[in-house]
Amino acid sequence: MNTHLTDQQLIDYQFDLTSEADAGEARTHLEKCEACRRRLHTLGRKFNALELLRDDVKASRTLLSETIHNAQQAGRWRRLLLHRLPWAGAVAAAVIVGIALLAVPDRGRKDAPTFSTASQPAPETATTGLAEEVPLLAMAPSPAGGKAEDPVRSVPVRAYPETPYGVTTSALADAPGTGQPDAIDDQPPFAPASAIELVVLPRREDVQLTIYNAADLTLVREKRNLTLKRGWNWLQFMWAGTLIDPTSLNLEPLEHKGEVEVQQLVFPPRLRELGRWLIRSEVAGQVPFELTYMTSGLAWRAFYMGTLSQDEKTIRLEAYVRVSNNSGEDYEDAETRLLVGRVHLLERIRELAQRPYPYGGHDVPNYLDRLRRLKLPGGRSVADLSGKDLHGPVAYAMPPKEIQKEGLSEYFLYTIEGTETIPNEWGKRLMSFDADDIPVTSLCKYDEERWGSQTIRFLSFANDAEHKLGETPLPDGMVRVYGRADEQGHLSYVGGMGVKYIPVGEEVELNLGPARLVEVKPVLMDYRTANHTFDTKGEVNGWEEVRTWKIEIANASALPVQVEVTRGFGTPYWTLKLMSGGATYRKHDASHARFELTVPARRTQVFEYEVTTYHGVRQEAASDDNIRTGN
Amino acid sequence: MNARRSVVTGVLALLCLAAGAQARIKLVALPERAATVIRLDNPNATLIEEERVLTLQKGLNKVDFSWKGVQIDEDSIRLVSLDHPGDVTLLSISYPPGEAALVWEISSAGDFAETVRISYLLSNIDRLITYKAVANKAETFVDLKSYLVLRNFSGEDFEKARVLLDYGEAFEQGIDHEETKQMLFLNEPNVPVRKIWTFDAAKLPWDPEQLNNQNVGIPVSYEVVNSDKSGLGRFALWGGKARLFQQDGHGSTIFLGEDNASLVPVGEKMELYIGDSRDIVVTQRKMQDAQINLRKNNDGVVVLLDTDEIIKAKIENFKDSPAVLTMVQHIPGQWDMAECNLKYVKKDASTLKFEIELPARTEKGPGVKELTMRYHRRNVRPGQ
Repeated sequence: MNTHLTDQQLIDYQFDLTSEADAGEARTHLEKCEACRRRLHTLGRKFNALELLRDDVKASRTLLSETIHNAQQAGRWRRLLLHRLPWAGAVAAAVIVGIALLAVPDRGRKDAPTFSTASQPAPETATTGLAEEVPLLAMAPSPAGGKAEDPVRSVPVRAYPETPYGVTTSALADAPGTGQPDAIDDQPPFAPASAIELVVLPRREDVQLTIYNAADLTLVREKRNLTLKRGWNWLQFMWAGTLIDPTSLNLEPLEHKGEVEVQQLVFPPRLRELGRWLIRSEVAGQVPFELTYMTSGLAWRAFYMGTLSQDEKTIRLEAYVRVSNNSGEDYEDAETRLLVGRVHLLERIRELAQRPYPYGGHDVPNYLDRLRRLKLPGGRSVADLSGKDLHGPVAYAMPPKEIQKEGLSEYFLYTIEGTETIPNEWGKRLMSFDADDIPVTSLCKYDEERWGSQTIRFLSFANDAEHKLGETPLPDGMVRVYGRADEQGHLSYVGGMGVKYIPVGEEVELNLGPARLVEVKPVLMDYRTANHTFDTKGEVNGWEEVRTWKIEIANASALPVQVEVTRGFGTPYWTLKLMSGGATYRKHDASHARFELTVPARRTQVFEYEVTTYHGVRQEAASDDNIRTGN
Repeated sequence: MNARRSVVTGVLALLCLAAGAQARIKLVALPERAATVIRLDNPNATLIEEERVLTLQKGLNKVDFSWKGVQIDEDSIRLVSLDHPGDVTLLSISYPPGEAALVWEISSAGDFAETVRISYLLSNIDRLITYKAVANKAETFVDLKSYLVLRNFSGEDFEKARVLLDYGEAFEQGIDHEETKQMLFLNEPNVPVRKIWTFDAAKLPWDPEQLNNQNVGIPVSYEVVNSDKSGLGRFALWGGKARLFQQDGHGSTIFLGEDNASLVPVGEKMELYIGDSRDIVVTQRKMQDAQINLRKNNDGVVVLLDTDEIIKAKIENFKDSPAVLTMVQHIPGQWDMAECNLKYVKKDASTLKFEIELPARTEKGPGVKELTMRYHRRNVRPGQ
C-alpha cells in the first residue's frame, strides 16, 4: 500500500470499525509509514484524554447509533468543508465517535500505538492557513448545552488541545433538525471538549485604535461577528507574536445583551498566549461582539513644519503625526485616534504582554489567580472575573464620527478622519492641521547664564484664536522651521527644535538656535567700590560695587531684530541706572534684569547701564534704594 | 538613469494595490529630476529641492519615493505640487518597514503630468569657505580671493544643480557623490589691509633679559574691514581657512602664514594672524609697587588699601620701516590713572589699548618709544 491512510481509515483502524482484512492492511502500512503513525498517535492522544472520562459517561444507545452514523457520513461532510477544512470535520466526527465508543464498556478500548512521544507535529487542522493572522479568533459550538439526553454535556472533559497555534473552540450544540430548543444547562462546561472542530472564524469588521503617546499603550476596539449556537459556546482568542496585554481582554455582545452572556475568560494551563471565552447564548446565529484589549507596539508622535513668510512676520504651521506599528499585528482600515496626555500605568503593557501567565505565575501570588482556581469548576462566580468586571466599564466612549478633536478628562483626543491601514512595521505620516498666516514675534535672546556668548533666536506665538490656533493643545514634537527664500516658493532651512506640549492659550516659543547674524557683546567699562563701612573692631562690614556695562548689539541681518538681554548680578541687592541707549528694562527676578530694544537691519546699537550691588551691611541701603527707585 | 543614482522616484498607477500595500509595485516610470537646488545657507543642514514630473491619474495615486545609501531626514520630506496645487492633494505618507522609502498617496482631480517640488534635508553634503590673500610688497593691499568648496559625500549624484549660499548669486553646478569641487566665488583686488603688531602684557613676557637668549615674538596680523571702502561689505564673510602670501617684488610670492577666519558680519574686521615678528622688541618693567592709604582694624591689621604703581615699557623697532604697535595693558579691579605719557583707549574696565607709532630704524639704532604710566588701584582688600 503506497498511499497514506486517509483519516477515515485511521479512525476506523483506531476504533475497530473496519473489517479484519482492512485492519490488517492498515496495520501493515502503519508499520512502514512514519507519517501515518504520527497522525495516528496524534489522534490517539486526543482520544486518550477522553478515555479518562469513560467511567462517568453514560451514553444512550440512541446517541451512540446516531454518532456512529454521523461518523460514517464524515466523508461527505468533509467534502462540504473542503475549501477550508480539509479533514477537520472528519476528525471532529471521530471525536464524537470516540466519545461514544468509549462510553461503551469493553468496546473501543484500544490503546493507540505509541510510536513516538517526542515532538508533536502541529495539528493538521485548517488553522495553518489562518495562523498568519494573529490574534486569531475562532468559534465553535460548545460541547454542552445540546440535547437533553446528550450524555456528553455532563462529561467534565479535561482534554486540552496541545496546539501551539491555530484552532479554537469545540462543541456540540443542538443537532441539526432539532425542533424547539430545550433549556440550556445551568452548568457551564468546564472546558471545550477539544480544539479540533473549527466552525466559524469571524472576520474583524471594524477596528478602532486609540494610541497614546506618553506611554506605550494602545486601546484596540474591534467588532467581530460571531456565529453562536444556542447554549454554551467557547471562543478562543490567540495572540501569539503580538504584544497584547491579556489582562485587558474584554469581550461584549453588541446585540442580544440579555440573551448572550460572556461568562468566563479562561487562560488554559500549559498553553501560552491563548484565552477562551465561555459564552452562554439564548440565541443561535450571528451576534456582533466588541472585543477590546490593550496592546503595546503602536506609537505616534507629532512633528511640525513651520514656513516663515518672507518678512518673517507670519508663519505657516503644518502639524503632522507619524503613527508607527510594531505591534506584530496588521491593522486594516482602522479608525485611528490619537490621545495626548499622560496616563498613569502601574505596569508596562509590553511587560504584561510578555508574561507567561496573564496575571503572574505561581511565584507571584495573585488573588485573582487563586480565586479563579478556587471557584473552578463550577459556579458563575468565575464569570464575574471576566474582562468586563475586572476592568470596569470601558473608559473611552466612541465619539461621534464627525468630531475630530476633543478634550476628555485630562486628555485630548484626535480622531483621524476615515480609516487608516497600518500594516505591521509600517509607519504613516498624517496631517493633523495646517494653519497659515500665524503672526509670530521674532526675538533674539542673550543670557550668558543659559547660552554663554551666543545669541539665540526665538519665534513665539500663542496657541490661541488670535494666532489662528487654539482649537487643540499642541502635542510635543520636533518643529522644523523653513524660511521662504524667494517668490517662487523656494525654501531655506532655518532650524529644528523640540517643543514641549502646549496647552490651549499658552505661548509657544521656538528656539531656532544661534542667531548667526546678531551679536551681543557686553563689556564691563568701569568698576569701582564705594561706601565702605567698618564695624566696631574696624573690620570692613559693608561696601558697594559700582559697575558700568556697555552692551553692544550688532545686527548683520537684512531685517530689524528685537533683542532681549538678560543680565544677572549675583545678588538680590542691586540698583540699576540706564546711562544711554534706547533700551528699556524691567526687573526679571530678584537678581536679574531684562533689557529690550530693537536693532534696525544692518546696524549696531549700544546701551549702557550702571549697576550698584550692595554687600555686607550695605545691603540695607539697597532695600531703601529699591523703595526709592521703585526697582 | 545613472547607475549610481540612489534616490529613485516612481509613480504607481493605482492598479490593484493589495490592502496594506505590502504588494507595492516598484515604480514604473522614472521621472528625471529637474531644477535641483542645493541650498547651503545653513551650516548645520543642507536642504535639497528638486522638481520632478509625476504622471498622475485621476483619482488616487501612489508614488514611491525611496533612497539608498543616502541619509535623508524622513520627517523633513515635503512634496509641493506646482502646476495644479488646488487639484492635487497629498493624502498621506506611509513608511514601509525596513526600507528607506516612503509612499505618497496623492489624490488628483484629473490626469496630469504634474510638476512637483520635493524637498528634504540631506546629510553629508556641505561646503567650506577658504581664502587666499596676496599682499603687495608694501603690505598695504591684498588681492582677496574666496573659494567655495562643495563637498558631496551624501551618496547621491547631482548632475546639475543650482547651488545657493545665503549670499551672492546662485550658480549652476553638478556634483557627484564623493566629489569635492572648489569654486572661486569672490575675487576682490586691492583690498586695503592693515598690518598690526600686538603686544598684550597679559600674554607675552615682559623682560626679554630674563628669557636666556630667546626672542619674544610679537604676533603679527592683517586686518581687513568688511565694508564698501574695502570693496567688500556686500555680505558677511564666512569663517574658513585663510592663506596669506606676499609679492616678493621679483614676480613671485612668498607664503606668509595661515589662520582660521571667523564669521565677519558687514562692517566688522577680519583679523588674520600670520606669525610672529622678532623685529619689534618690548621690554616692560614695573618700576614701583607701593601701598598707600592704609586703613587698619583695631588690631592694627590692614583691611583696606590703595596702591601706587608705575609701569614702564620700552618699544624698539628694528625694522627699516615705521610700524604701529598695538599694546594692551591690564589693570584689575578699581583703579585710576595718575599719569600716562601716551594716549590710550579703555577697551573695558581693566583693559587699556595703546596704538604706538614706531619710527623706522635709523643708522643710530632702532626706532624707540617709551611708555610710562602711573596708576592707583583703589580699595584693595588684602587677602581677597
